[in-house]
Amino acid sequence: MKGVLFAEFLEMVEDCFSREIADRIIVASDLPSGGAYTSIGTYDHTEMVQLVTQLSVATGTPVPVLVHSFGKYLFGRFVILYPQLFEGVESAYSLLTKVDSYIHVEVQKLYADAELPRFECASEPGRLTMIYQSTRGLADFAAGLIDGCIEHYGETIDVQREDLSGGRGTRVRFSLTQQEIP
Amino acid sequence: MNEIELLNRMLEREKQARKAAETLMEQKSRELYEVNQGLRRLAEELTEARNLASQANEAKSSFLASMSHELRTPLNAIIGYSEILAEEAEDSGRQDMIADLKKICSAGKHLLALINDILDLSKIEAGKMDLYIESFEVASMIEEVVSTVAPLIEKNANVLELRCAEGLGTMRADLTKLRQAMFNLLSNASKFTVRGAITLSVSRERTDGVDWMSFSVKDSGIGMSPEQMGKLFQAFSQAEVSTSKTYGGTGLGLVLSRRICQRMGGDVTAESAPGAGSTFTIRLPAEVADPKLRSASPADGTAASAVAPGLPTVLVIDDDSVVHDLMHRFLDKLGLHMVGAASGEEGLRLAKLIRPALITLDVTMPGLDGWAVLTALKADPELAPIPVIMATGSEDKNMGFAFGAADYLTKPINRERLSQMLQKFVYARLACPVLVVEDDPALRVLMRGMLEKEGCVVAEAENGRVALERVGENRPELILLDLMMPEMDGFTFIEALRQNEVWRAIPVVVVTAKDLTAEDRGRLNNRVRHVLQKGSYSRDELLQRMHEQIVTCLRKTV
Repeated sequence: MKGVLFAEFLEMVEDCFSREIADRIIVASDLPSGGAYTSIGTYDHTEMVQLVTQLSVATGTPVPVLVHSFGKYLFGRFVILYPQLFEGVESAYSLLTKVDSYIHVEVQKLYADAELPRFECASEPGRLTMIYQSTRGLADFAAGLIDGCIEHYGETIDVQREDLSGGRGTRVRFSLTQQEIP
Repeated sequence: MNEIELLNRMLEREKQARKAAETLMEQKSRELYEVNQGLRRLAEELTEARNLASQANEAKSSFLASMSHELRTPLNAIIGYSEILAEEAEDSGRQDMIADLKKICSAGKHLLALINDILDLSKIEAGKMDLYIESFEVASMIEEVVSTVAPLIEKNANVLELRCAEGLGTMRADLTKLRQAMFNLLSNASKFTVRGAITLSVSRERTDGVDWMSFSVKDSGIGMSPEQMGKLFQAFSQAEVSTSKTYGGTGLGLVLSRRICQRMGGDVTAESAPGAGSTFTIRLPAEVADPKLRSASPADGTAASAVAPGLPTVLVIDDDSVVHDLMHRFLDKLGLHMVGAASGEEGLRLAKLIRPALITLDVTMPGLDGWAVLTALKADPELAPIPVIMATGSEDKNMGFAFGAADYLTKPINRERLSQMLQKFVYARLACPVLVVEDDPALRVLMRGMLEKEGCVVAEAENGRVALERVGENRPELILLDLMMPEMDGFTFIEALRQNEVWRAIPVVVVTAKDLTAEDRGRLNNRVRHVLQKGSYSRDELLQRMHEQIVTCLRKTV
């Protein structure tokens, strides 16, 4: 997993909880990297699993909720870190449909060895279906990113989620429906 | 204390992360360096491969050029001699031999055409086809093509209908290649049509601010199916194998015509249906861009560039456009080029620019009238020697002579009288010493024959060195020069000739079977009067061209 995610995760923990909690979960996780992450490095994704698990223990918040929150937080960071990805993109749907064809292509330019999830998109007026597929099973994280995106554009979109991989979260359908503004 | 330990741990982690980042950056830099090195090596390899390929290509081109020379020279002898023998057989009534001799001649011509096609195609494929862009009158080009193709049209009892739109004007293109493409379309049409009608339509239209010429050849022949149409423009593929057996040919002509037109920024398109005949259309910009002279178009009007090289030019100064048209038609038939001026002022300007062989001058014109123009012409030492014929409604001939006119014509112009005057002022003094420089003795004899028939006194030389000796013995009025010769070739000869001040002005007409490259043309530039390509003409045509050149050269030496 790319170092940028670890670095951002720990910053989120420091911002939303405290430096002490960030330090505590690192020490408790007993990580091969020692928790010294650089955004251009690559680390074993089990380190992230451990960190999230320890954060759950430390805060009493369930893991899925934490992962979802991280996704949403990270989207906000992306807006700041990579503004060029958002140029000329005016709505949540148009950004989400570009994830595979444009955003992941850009990511690959910076991190040639990045293992990226796949998103199959199908759209019709007012609706968008995205099927998330990844061996990492980080559908909660994807859901957080989607919610972050919707919030960024200030839109009202209902998101329904259906696990197509028997609860493993490796293949999940997100059905998005634009809500009429009352 | 806890706080300090925490900060220490954080600091330690930051340090570790920084070091890890530095190591990664170094690694990435090394990778980039290696990738760059790889790319550099690849670029070097590519450059080397490109150099090798272009060397091979150049070798191929020069092989083709010398092959063309080697193949065409003996073929020219075969064609030339069989033509002479056929003429002689006809004169001496040996009817039994005529048919056989004509077969030899036509087989030779056929072979020459095939060789030319294959060579042209290879040159186009190799990107080596040079364009020789010149200005010409569309109407006279059409007339020429039609008269060349007439025997082919008649062969299958076809009728050729010519539909030329008004005001075709002049165009700038490679005249020889356009003629070749048109000739090809017309000969195809006559080949695949029997006792039918072939229509040649020519028009000029303006699209998006650019003038386009369209030459359309429609026949009432066998036509083609969509499948046959699909193969039409592919090299070495006639509509069907059986077609080549029945109709002959390699099917290269059409491919060649299309590539030629594409090279000039146009195209050839086809429409057809089985049994319903075919229409082939050449579309070309009226001003084909000259790849060699992109910015070198003369600022001084189109009239100057409209002068056909090699043909004597008559300047017609008259405010009546009908006179221009009539004179143009008449002069064109005599192989003379005409430039028209609609006013006295324009006439003076053009006279300075093109130095015509002869001027016809109307007396009554608005603005500067004929007498004023004549006075101005005679006052200019450079223009004064040009003979001026006054064309006038009044019979003020004495006044004309007093002002320096060479002769006068009364309107309406009597063609016979005009013809006599042209004879007197343009074609006069044909008998002259001509030196033929050619290594092929057979061709030399052939050329001598042609020239002597024209009343020239002929000297011969088999190479450049001997030619220089001959020039020293007796200064010729004109030199006909081959380029590829042993001992001293034509290029070296020209250089030597031009170094001698007395000989510098002798006009040289190159008659060569060599395919001239742009470099060759550069070496000849401004040093020779004209280049005649042996393979491009029949004996009669070559003779006609030589005749024109002799006339032109003599006029210039007067």
